[in-house]
Amino acid sequence: MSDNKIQDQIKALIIEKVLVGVDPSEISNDSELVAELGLDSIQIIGLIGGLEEEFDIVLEDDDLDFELFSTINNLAKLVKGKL
Amino acid sequence: MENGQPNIIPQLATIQQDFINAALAFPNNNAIWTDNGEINYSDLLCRSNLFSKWLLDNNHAPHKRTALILPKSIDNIVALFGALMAGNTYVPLGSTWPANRLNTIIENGEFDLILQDKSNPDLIINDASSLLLDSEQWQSIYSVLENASEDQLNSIKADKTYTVKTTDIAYILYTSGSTGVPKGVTVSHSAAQFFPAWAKKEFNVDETHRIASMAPFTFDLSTFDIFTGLSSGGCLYIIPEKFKMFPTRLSGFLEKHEITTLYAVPSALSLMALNGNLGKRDFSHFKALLFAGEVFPIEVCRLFKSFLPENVQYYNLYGPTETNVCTYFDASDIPDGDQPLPIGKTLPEHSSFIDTDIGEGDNVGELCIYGPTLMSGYWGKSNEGAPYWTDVPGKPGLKAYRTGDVTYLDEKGNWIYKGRADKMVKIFGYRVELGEIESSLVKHEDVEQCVVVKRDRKSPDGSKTIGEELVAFIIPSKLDQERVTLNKIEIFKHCKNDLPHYMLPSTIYEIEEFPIGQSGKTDRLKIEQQAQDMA
Repeated sequence: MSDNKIQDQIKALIIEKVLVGVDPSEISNDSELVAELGLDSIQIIGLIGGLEEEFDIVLEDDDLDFELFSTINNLAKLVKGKL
Repeated sequence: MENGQPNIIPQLATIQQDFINAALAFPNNNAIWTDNGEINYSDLLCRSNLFSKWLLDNNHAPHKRTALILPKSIDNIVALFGALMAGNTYVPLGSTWPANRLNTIIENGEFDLILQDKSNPDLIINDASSLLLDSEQWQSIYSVLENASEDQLNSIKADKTYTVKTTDIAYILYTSGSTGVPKGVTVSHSAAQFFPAWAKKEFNVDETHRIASMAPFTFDLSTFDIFTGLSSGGCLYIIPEKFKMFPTRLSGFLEKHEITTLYAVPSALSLMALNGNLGKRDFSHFKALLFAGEVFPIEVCRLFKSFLPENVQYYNLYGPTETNVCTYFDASDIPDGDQPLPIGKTLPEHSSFIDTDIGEGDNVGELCIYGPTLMSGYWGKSNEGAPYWTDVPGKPGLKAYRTGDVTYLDEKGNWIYKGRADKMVKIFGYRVELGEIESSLVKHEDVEQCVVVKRDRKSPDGSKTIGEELVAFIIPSKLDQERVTLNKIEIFKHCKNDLPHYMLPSTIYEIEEFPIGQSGKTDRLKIEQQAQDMA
C-alpha cells in the first residue's frame, strides 16, 4: 500500500465513525486529533476499534501512546508497522 | 485561667492542619507519586511551609487570592498548601482552558498572584500579577533545604501557620455559567474541611492507602484526593494525563501501583469496564471505589463492580460544587433490574427537602440542601439565573441551597435523581451550561441562531449507554439572501477559544428553523428528540 492511501483510509474512517458530517477537506493529515479536532476518549476507542477492523491488525497496550494517536500521519506509521 | 485549668483554645480543624498532622505522624511515608518523581510527607511539609513563608514575606498573603494555572504535579500541591498555610484562598484554574475563558475569570477574579509554569508556552498570561514558576524559582524558595540539618528541618516543619477563621475562604472553584461567564464557588474553611474528614472516616482511609488522582484540581472530586488522601499518611498517585485517553492504560496503571482507593466519574469507569481489559487485571488491592458527577447507568455500574473484590466499598456520591458532596449511597448491594441507582441519604449534619412548586407532582421536586458543606456564595458580582438560596421550612433565618436537580424519595428513604430543572447537563461528570456553549457559537459570523442539546451517548460497540454528549443545531447566517454553508471544523475551532474541551459539541447539524412549542418559544424537547433520532 502506498503511503497516502493509508492516510486516506484513516481519514475516511474518522469521518465515518467519529467526525460525522465533516468535509474531508477540513481535516489535514497533520491536524492534531485531540488538541485541534477535539476527539475525546470515547471517540478514540471507536477509532482504535475501527483501525483494527479496517486494517485487520491488533493494537496492543504499548501501541496506545498519546504521540502515535496525535495525527493521521502518525497513525499511518503505526498501522504500517503492524501490516 | 479558670479552676486551675488553662483555657484551651481548640485548634480549628482545617484542611491544611489535617495535612500537617499527617505529615508529622508519618514523615517518611511517600506522600505523592508522579511519573516525574516522588516526595515524602516530611519534604512536602517543608516545601509547603517554605512557600507559605515566601508568600507572607513578599506581601502575597494573608487574605489574598492565589490563582494556580499549573498542571497536576508536586509543585501544584506545594503551591496550594503553601497558600492555605499563609492564610490565602487558592484558586485552581485549568492549564488546558482556552485563553479567553482564563482572561474572563482573571478580569473578575481580583487575584493577587497567578502562578504558572512553562509547560504551556502559548498560555502565558501577561498580567501584572502573573508569576512564572520554573524550576529555578522553586529552587531558590527551597534553597534553605539544601544542606539543612535534622534540627533545622524540624524547626521548618514546626513553623506556625497563619491562623484562619472558619469563615475565611479556603478555595474558589470555577464552574460553567449559563450566560457565558464562569461562576466562582467560594468555599469557607469550615465547609472545606467537612467532606474530606467525613470521607476519611467513612472509607477508612489510612496510611496503607494508595489513592489514585484522576480528577483535575479544578474539579471538586480532587478535594477527596488531595485533602482526604494527604491527611491519611497514605500516598497520592497522580495518573499521567497521557493515560487518561486509553482505558487499558488507565486500568494497567491502577493494577501496577496496587491502587486501593479511587474517586472517579462514571464515564471513566464505564470506559474501563467496556474497553479497559479489566478481565485481565488484578484489582484485588482495591478497598474503596467512589463515583460522582453524573448518572452511572445501572448495567455498567454492576459490570464494573464485578471486576472488584467482594468486600470493596462501592459508593455513589452526589452533590453540586456548591455543596461538594451532600448525599451518599452504598452501592455494594446494587438493586436488581433497571431502576436508577439512588443518590441516597444526606451526609451527617446535613438536611434536605424538595420544593414541589416546580409542578411535577406532590412527591417530586427540586432538591434543596443545607448543612456545613454549603458554599459562601459566588465570587464577585455573578448574579445570574434563578435564586439559588431558599428558606428552610420551619426554620426561619436558615437558608438552603437549591440544587436545580429534580428528585423524589424511594420507599427506603433514598433520594432518586430524576433530571434537571434547567439547561445544565453533565458531560464526563463536568457541569456544562448549554447557554455557555450557545453564547460562544452565536459569536461566530456564520451562526445566526443555535440551540445546543444533550443526547445519550452509546459505547463504541453500540451496546450500552455511556453518559451523554452535546449536539449543536445551527441556523446559518444569510449572505445575499442565501444561507451560508457551515465549515464545521472552523466553527469547532472558534468554540475552542472560549470553551474547555468537554464543552465542545461533538456534532454540528445545520437546520433551517427551530420547532416552536406551545408557549411560542423554541421547543427544546423536540430538538432533543430530533438529536436522539439522528444518533
